[in-house]
Amino acid sequence: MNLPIQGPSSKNQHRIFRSFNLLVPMNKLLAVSLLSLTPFLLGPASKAQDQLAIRAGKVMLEPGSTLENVTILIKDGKIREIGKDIQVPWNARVIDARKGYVMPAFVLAHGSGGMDRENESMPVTPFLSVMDSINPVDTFFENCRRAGYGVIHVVPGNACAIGGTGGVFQPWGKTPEEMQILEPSVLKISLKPTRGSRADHYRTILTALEDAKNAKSDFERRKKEFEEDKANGATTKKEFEEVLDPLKKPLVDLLEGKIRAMLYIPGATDVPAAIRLCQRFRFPVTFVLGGDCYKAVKLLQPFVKLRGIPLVLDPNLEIIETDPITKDQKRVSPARVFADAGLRFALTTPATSGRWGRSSSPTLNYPTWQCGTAIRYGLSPEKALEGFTTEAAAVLGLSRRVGKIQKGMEAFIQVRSAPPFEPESVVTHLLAGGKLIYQRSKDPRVKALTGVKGSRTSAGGGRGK
Amino acid sequence: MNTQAQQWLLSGLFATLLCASGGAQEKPIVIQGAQVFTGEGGFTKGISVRIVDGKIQAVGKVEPLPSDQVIDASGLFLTPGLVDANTALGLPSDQENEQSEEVTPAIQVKDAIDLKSPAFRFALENGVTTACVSPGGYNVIGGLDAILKTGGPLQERLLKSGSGLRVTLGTLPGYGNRPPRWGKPTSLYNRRPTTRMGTIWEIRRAFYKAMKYRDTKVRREPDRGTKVLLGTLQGKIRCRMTARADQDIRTALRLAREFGLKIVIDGASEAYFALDQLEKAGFPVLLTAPSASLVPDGATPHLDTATLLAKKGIRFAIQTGRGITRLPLIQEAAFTVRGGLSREQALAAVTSVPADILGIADRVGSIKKGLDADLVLWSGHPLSLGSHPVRVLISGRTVQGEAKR
Repeated sequence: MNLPIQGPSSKNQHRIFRSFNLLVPMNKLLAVSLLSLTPFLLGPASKAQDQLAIRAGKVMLEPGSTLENVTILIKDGKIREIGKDIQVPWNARVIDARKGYVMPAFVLAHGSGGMDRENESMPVTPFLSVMDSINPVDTFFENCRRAGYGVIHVVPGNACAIGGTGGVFQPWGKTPEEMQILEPSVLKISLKPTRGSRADHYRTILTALEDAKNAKSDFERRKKEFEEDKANGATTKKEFEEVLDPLKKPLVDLLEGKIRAMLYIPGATDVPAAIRLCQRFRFPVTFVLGGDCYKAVKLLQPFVKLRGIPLVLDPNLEIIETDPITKDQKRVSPARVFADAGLRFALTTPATSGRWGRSSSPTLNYPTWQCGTAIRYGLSPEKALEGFTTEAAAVLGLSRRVGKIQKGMEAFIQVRSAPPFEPESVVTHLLAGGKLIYQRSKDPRVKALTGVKGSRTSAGGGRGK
Repeated sequence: MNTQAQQWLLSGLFATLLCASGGAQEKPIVIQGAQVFTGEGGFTKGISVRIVDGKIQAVGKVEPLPSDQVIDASGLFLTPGLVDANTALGLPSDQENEQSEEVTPAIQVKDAIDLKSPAFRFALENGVTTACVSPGGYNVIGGLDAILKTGGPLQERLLKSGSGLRVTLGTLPGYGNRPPRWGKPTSLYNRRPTTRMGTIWEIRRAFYKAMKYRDTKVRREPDRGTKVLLGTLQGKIRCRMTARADQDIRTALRLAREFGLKIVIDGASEAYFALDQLEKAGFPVLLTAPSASLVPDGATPHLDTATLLAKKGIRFAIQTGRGITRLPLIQEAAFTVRGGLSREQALAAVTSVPADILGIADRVGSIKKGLDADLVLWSGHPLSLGSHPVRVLISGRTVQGEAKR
């Protein structure tokens, strides 16, 4: 069976695809005929799998709950049956994972991978959407498939004060629309001062929110005046034609509670400002905690508990703290500090693309290795895995759809060669929305980077090659 | 003061320090109940280790005496302290490379190491008890390395100094150098080498100079650098050649043949291109951090280089290198297991094999009678992702407390 294993095959082909768009009208005919070929150029088409069955040796339904020797039946993208004596339909494709380990696909709760650029050059850009920047052939998505991610939250970066709206995607598809699971998901606000002082940055955010508030009340006032004029016969117009400034609409939606804010707090210094901001505007919010936010845990803990604010931790789970006077260093894990304070949180990995990632170590891109770091600092394996499954799904408001293997939930499942914390463990199969989107045995990157090589096959490489 | 007098003074100082530290009698220790990896093979149950005066006195079925201190390690995993064959521990990044000349065989890294650096403690917390610190890779011939314990009393830390010479191939030694153009040189960096060819020529020139001295009949005291190079030619000093890309690995093998050197190949990111040649030459390999995806010289690291080396029977150790990755040594070993290497071989590649390559197998790297009691007790299988050392012993003393985290 011809299965959709890899995404669109190369960036260059995608560029060819774009450049043909520019040939109209002179070469319109040629362009149209070539465009019709592009689905074939871009790789195998994504066919929905009608029925799929996984014969599993071990299954982790959710962290802390495992079963042995069961079959999982998937139909129309959803998990239909889980059990020992399940009749597998004759036409169902069967994945034999009797020697493997089956668990929910990972969920990335916050990241800026897969985009052309993460940050716009203006500080306040609530009207932007990541949908316009997602590049389906970015190697980030390929790395995500290899790492076992089925659901990825892509949000604007941390460098804009108000950065735009994010979206939730699966790591396979030819267009952002095909990949999209939820859009828009959140409005990104960042307290990281990139243009001047902290106070000035905070003022920028306040001004933007107050502006939006005023714009909304002005709009309502004019609408009311129009209704009065209409009733008095002072206007000939039948309908109020004015629309709310689309540049401010996402902020108005935020203030009305129609969309959630994802507030990046870069360090402990910014925690009081974050709390003040939330108290003043009372919008629904998720905190993304970076750097040394763990130092403000006593301030954060009661507020987060009171307001039920979901938390996401920065990818840096091991922080080296240097004493400013003695220069002595100690290592701290924010995950451990927040867990000790009784808080729940999602964990993340950095956005990496390129051969194995922009960061020098590909292991940083592996959720299991991130969990390993948290566990070494005393987090329980279950709590660590929750950070990439159930908790991450809860942060995205998708608890009923993804993050668990449960009857009726959508089939976002990974098959690993061994339990997740064994060093041999790699993702052998990945299902997203019931579709098989990754198979290690057919991963061209793995093939290229293993085995004996007789001669250099590409002219790649850095300085000196 | 001339160089010889300095040398006498230094060796005298170390001898005094060593004498001052000995003598303290401590209670014998018996570690029992753990699964034990002795340096080769897998983990075995039912083995106990008895430590007397900082040395391993017995390994096997040991009945503790009433006067022994017993450490019950049930459920834990015991391994020899890990040996990191190439690090920059205790060297600030601006202190690694002596930039006054390209060929500096006489300089010793021992003179620069800050033993109080927190980096040693972090290494210790990750189970590394012995580390080889060498000069950086921006000189063609960089200088002499030092092998140290990462913990214990400061005066007992130095195991060996000057036993290995660092030689770097590839593009890094020429980095920043530029040929003078249009007339006079205007900068310190208007110098050679600027290419791979120039780097190799610098190596050749240095060794030719030493050989010329060796073959001359008029005897006078050689300078310190020539002495080091003569020691390397005679095989008394280990010659560690950093070669990452395939052409550099081949060049290293060619140089070894040309000068009759016994070398250790360091880096070897593209060893998969030259497996047959490496097997034939029989030199050991210090594989650079296997998880690093970006390495210098434009080399492309592969996932399974360690596995391929093991299949060919080429002796190799795993090292963390200097700053190209931030993973602890044990996780680098775990990464090779992800690439298909067996757990036993991965563990040997961070314990007994590097100790053997560095010539310190009579002191550390295995759990054997007579060796230093440098041991690590792990919370789980050391290669499992969440495992961490719960207790680290150096010469029988607990230097990293039980369940410190």
